[in-house]
Amino acid sequence: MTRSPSVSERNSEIRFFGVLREDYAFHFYVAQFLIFGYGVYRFTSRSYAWLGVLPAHLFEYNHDFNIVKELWPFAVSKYVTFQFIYDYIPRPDEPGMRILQWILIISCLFGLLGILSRCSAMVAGAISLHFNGYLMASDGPFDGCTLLICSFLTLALVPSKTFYSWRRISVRNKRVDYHWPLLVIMLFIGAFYTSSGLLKVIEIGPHWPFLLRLDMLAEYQTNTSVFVSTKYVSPLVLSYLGSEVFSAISGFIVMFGEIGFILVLWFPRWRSILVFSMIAMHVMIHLSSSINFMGSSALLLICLDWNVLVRRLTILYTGDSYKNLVQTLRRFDRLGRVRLPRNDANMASRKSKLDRKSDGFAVRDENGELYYDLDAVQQVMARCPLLMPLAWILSMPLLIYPARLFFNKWIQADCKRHE
Amino acid sequence: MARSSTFSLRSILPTLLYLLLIAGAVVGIYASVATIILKSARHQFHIDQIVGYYNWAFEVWLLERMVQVGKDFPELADYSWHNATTPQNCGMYYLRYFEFNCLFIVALLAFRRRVLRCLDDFVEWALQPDCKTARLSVLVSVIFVLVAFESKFLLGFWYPGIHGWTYHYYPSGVRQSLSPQEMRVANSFNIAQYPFLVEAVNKKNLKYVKRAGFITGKGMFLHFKNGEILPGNMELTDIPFPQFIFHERGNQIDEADVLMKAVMLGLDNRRQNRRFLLPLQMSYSNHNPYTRISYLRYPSAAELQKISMWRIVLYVNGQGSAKIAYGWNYASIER
Repeated sequence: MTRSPSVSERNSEIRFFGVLREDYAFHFYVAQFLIFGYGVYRFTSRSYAWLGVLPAHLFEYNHDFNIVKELWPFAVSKYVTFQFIYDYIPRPDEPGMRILQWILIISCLFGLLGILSRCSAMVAGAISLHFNGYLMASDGPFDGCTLLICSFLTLALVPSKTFYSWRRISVRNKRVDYHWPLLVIMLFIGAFYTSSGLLKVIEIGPHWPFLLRLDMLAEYQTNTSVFVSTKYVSPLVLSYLGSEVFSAISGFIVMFGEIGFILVLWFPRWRSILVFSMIAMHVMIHLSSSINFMGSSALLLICLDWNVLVRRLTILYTGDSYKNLVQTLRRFDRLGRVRLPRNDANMASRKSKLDRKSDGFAVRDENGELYYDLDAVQQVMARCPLLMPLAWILSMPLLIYPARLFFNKWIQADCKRHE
Repeated sequence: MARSSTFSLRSILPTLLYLLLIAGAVVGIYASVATIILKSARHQFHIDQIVGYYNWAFEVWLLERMVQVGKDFPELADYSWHNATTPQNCGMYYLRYFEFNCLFIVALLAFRRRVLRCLDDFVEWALQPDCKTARLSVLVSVIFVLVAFESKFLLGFWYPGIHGWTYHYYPSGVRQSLSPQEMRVANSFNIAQYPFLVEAVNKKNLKYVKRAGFITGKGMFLHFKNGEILPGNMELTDIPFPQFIFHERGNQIDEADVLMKAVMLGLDNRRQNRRFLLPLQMSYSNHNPYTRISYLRYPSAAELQKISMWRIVLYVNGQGSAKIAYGWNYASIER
């Protein structure tokens, strides 16, 4: 006998991303495209030839940069990034570094085009890790590509037949291997931001936003930007940061956004706001503090549920008051991703099993997740390209609660009007 | 036989992971405390220099004790591997990390059974025969992230997190007046002798400066064989943090030859409107981007004769205009 779900179960906010769930290939393909595409863009943009110009004595881990000072008397990264090999062989000169960079670019390009993708991920991971080790060994301590390296290394573990290629690309393939690498990548991205947020609390305190003085940063950066020798900032953007209140609000958004980022694995409704708040943070940091992490935005997009575009939705039952709305919504579904069950006669029995309410609307996606009423409408809208922006707006956290109230009233009024 | 070895691994793995978490916190504590003590033994700094803006009275007391150990045993300086000369961050970066790890160990011990039960479930799940790579990847990733955060190891592909800056100590960058000595220099300074210095000013940003006063900055100039002197900046080197490699010590710059080579490499690329393969306008900028300068009409790098570094004091009137008060050439690198 099927138990009727309680109200809290009916529209639960917590839906774990899952580890070994069979899922469609589309999200994985998007991740493959974003990771290798960002790799190509990044490594064709800048030259690492200068590393071949530096003399060997500069690679002695003599950091003066206090922020990333190693707490340890030995450099763990020397072994992890294979820098130890230069204890035995000479370091590559400028042409040697160019060759290494070309291999890196070609492997990223191969991965992007789906040629020997796993092998490409291994090569790209190893060389980008090695380059990062170079930077850590020298006094130019880091390059800001942590998440890219982690993504390459994760892709290197994935079976070869999982990647798209010119011979094999079907977004509706379903396998476990399309899902767990995304979990690992999202775990790394989540942990990266969450640990940064936690560090702010540990090292400064939970009142960090109140101590943050973006107004002072803005004034200093604006005034010193009058020399072309300085770091790049946008004085126009800085001119909007002149308030302490704005500074505290930004601080709260950053702190809660970072600490809470790991929740992308559990709270799908929070995904888009967390992802876009972190992208906004990177843009603002780039324009106000001249620290560029903007490339991570491409990897942050992996945290969105791209499979919603291919995962089909089955309408389990439609209450009387929803019939008009659902009919209208289904007209927008040009790709046939919202479907009625084959045996429509059983709708009443399903209704009684799932929900005791006399009226309502319920859908189930292919992961077996059940959605009711406005949440179900939102799921339908997410499958209709024209209505997708509305679905995104509804996915804003906290907005769903007032939206549900208004929606219930509106649906009743709509029902009466049609009567 | 195989079954018994699997069984033994299965039974001890949760405990091993639990001990690994404790070990990560212990090494984190060791690193933080050793850093504070060894740094104080080496630098002999006063407590005022290491207490952060954020420290409580208890933390000040604790730091005093640690610093005293360093002072009482100056021979410990021989064991210090730290070469940082700015000890002010001890109260923030090291002491707070020490406190966090202490609390983490207390939590691990207080909730030992619950933590072990969680780890046991996790290991049970991870050692299932299907999807082995997936399960082990998730297990290793979770434990790795936790241990890296506790121990603060910089592994080369993972950082324990990015700190929070507060910027509360940032000055405005504008001084209301010059010192008498500076005034004398400014009065005797003739800009007509150094007309190229005005090129160091980013004129389009002047309108955003709202205060009147003096701003001190730097200028980097490229001297070419044809007599042209044109502005540049460290972006030409492509190095993310060039200031940490090319330290300025008085009128000397460390690794001056390397700087010249790196600038020449960069200049040849910039003259073709690119940093590497992509056009400059659409290329992904460095981790620390500099103000963009168009090098399209610059002579070739082969023509570069000298790089001169200037300190420039600029007077701004707060209404969009400025004039150079004075400047001096503090370092030059001949090719």
